[in-house]
Amino acid sequence: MSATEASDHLRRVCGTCALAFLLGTVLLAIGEARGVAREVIGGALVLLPFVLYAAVGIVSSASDLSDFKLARRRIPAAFAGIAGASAWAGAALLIGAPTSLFLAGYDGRPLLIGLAGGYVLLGVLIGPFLRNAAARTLPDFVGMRYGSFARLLAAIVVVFCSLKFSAALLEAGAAIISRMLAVDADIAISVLAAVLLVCTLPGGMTGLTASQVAQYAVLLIGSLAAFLLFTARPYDATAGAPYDALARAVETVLQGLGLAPARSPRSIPFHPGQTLENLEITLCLMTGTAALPHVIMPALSTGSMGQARASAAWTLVFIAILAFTLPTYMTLASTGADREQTGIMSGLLAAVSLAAMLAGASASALALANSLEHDLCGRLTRQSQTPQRPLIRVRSLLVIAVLVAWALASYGATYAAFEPARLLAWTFSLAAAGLFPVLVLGIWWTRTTTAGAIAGITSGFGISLFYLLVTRYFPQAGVVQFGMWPLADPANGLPLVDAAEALSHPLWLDDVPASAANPLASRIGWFNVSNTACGIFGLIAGFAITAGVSFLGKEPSARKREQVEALRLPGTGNP
Amino acid sequence: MPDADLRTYRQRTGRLMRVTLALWALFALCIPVLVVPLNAFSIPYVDLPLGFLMTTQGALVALTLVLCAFARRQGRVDRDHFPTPG
Repeated sequence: MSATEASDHLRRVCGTCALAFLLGTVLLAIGEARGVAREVIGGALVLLPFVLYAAVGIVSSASDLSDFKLARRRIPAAFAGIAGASAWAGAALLIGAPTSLFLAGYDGRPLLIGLAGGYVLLGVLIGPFLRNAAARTLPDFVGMRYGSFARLLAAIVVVFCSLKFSAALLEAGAAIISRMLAVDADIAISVLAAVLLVCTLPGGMTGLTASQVAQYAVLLIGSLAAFLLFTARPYDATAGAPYDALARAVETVLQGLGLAPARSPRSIPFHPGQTLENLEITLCLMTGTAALPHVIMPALSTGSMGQARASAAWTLVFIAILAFTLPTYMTLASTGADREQTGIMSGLLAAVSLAAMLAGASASALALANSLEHDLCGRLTRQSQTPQRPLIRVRSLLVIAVLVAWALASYGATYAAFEPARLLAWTFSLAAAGLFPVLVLGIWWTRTTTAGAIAGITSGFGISLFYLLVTRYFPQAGVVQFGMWPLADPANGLPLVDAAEALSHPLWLDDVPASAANPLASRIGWFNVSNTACGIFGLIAGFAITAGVSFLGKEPSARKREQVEALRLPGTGNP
Repeated sequence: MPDADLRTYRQRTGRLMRVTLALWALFALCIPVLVVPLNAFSIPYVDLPLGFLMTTQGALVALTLVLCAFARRQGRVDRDHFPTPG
């Protein structure tokens, strides 16, 4: 389809879904007022959007491989921005949710910068140039720049990170579903995975973008509606809320934005060291965002270099809009836990969360499938195939990818082995460590060699992975053999755990790999770096080693250097 | 493409990039570090500490504006030096 057709299609999707969801919400609100049970209302509000997303996915079918993988590069920048913002919301809600434990104090709001600032890096340093090179996937670009082996390494990092991302979001989303619809976690995960497939299987990138646009509509309308409903409640004398609806509205907004001192007593970090911790995590999140495959994909599916750049800017705009409505939603979600909520309210809150989770999980799954098909399988099977075969292949790979994510999420839910928020933070760190240095240096420094890139990806990813695994699953070895020491409690600067004391208990000493209850797990490290910021080590190593090895090696040929320089000039990519 | 023109393009692009990244570093890295001293200032009407405001909503708005301005600017530079046919 052409750019205008794509634009029309997406606009229609946006309008229809917004209307349908709004109508549905109003009808259900009336239904609840008439006495329909709140569980039914809540459940309906969760299922209605699923039906919408599925419908959108089905009508956006793709006809050939190029259509499926990159929507023939015709997605308008603004819609790519909307899609990107919904995927962002998935990560943001999970990491920034009030119940997230790993960032004690300071309310985790600096994370907002971390998750959003990455788009600046993407738009300035990476996105437009990958599009200019007409790369089909992130590893594709790595292959163009550095050769096949580097491409393979990049693909491995991509597979790893995308799977974790999808699994974490599926797991978190399923927790919400199982609470709302009173079903088992397994069934909940299956439902989510099924909806994901219906959104992406028929239409590929077009279907994904369209369903993400639909999800954004739900995100926006849902959080606004929840907010309106909350302020329109009849006055509750026992709760001590202000009588006037307007005053209540203002207070809720302020709370949501974190500006009401009564609810957010911590307006400053506990101690100076915590500022450094925040900085580390912010840096990991930002560089990770700029290097995550599903964040880069929308830029690759736009029409040109300039459009790719614009799409990053649009994503930030739509994120900023959400960032004003979502915190209010989070406040409502956390205060709502104390008291009985109407079916509409809890339903809306759940629908909003699920929209975000689905957007993120499906973006990641499709990016993963594209990479599997293009960078791994496509390279292995060299025989020429009819146009239909690759389409079937990439669709099958998508199903396989979703199944693996499903399995991971199931395992995590059953054994509580993964904490979704921490898992997501690791994903950003690992992508940042493995890919960011190589991408940036590859585009901006012509001296970067293939050997340097290979060393960079391996060392960056390797070090961060090592740090993460040891601090979480083998902390005993971390303390004894690798010289790690306990992290400092942000509240008072004292060690979080007494390592020597913990190790003297055979229960914790022999607990290998460490369970979540182990007092040492995720509480030790080097230089007070929590494993949620493990990417820091990888970033430093990645840049240093890539630069170092490149410098020590032979300079790339003049032709290669010219090619790299040409990358930064507009017009050398496919129109 | 004449060399002088290319050089100008690179200069303009390079400068734009440096400014944008400097602003990014300011809002994403520096201000969050300076939150305690910044809190000494308060927005008069709403009586809010400035540091806190910046690290929650202010930085996001600022970064959005910076990126949009960059995209627009760079697009213009691109069009000046590489006019698209038709």
